[in-house]
Amino acid sequence: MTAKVLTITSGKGGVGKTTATANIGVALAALGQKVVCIDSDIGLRNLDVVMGLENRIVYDLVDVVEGRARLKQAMIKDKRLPELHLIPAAQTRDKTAISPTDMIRICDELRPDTDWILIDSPAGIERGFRNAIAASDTALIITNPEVSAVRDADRIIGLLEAEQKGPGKLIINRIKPELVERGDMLDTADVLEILAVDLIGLIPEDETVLISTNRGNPAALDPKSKAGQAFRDIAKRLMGEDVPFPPLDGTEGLKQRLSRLIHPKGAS
Amino acid sequence: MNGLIDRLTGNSGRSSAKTAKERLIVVLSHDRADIGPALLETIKQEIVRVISEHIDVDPATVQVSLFSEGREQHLKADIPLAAGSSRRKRTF
Repeated sequence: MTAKVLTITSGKGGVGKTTATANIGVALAALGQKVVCIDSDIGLRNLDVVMGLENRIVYDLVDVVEGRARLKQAMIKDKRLPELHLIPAAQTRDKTAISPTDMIRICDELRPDTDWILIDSPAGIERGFRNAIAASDTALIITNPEVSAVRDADRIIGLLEAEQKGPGKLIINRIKPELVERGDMLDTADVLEILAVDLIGLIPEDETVLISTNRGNPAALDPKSKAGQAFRDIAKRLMGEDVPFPPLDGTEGLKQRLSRLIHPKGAS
Repeated sequence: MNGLIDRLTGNSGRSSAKTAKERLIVVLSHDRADIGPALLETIKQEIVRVISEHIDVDPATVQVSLFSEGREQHLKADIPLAAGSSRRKRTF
């Protein structure tokens, strides 16, 4: 096997990079794929808590780069999914502790016996972002349907193109169908028209994400979670499966709406 | 009737998403081309100056703007010509 390296990036903070990395990692591993998630957010380590592996860290990415640990020693094996691994970020250092060359070397070492390497990028467009995209084969750009996140996603797409790493694939996260429907949230078509990039995932706003993150069990492990299903769909699309996008935005037609008005509590 | 349709389709007043989209399209065309409104104004004045050497144009009607086709950026200048046969300036 030769791993594909995916970088999950957004420019803006707080749009769901770490959540997406954890969930796509879990979903791919659940399909039997060997996955290594790398937290490249040095100094602001978080992928470990979102994945629920924070108590098992011995060595981190900087320990590997600086030769205190071998790569295998820094890989935490997930007990729920034996094919899932995490290389955590260092918490007490900063982005300059690793270089783009280090990331390329680490990914090259992992590639031969891994299917997917997922790199969780820090927010911003500086050194940390450069580190995160250095070894990337495909960037997954994550955004929310709101002006600042879309603007930053556009900037990231431009930077990826300039680095010959583009254009990447888009994930729209935290979609609120009821807001889209009443015209108060950008819909998928709007965002795709503005950013002019391929779509790979639509994630609805879903409280199961918060709850599952509280517990350190990514939503993709929960068969009933809508967001979890959306992340599982992304994993299948990455594997080459043609999974249709569920209607999340304003596609409830007049007929359904009328029917809801007529039968407020009934099934439409 | 429109009010009823709006209520049925969930559109009360002007949709804020539409406003967001329009604002994003403008700001991103400036971001991508790294051309701000001040530079566009300078370009417009220069174009008006050059064109005015040959034909009459009303600077107030000239529009210079950016637009996108996919991820490709275009600079567009719209220069309405003054009506009438006298628009061409005598060059001799």
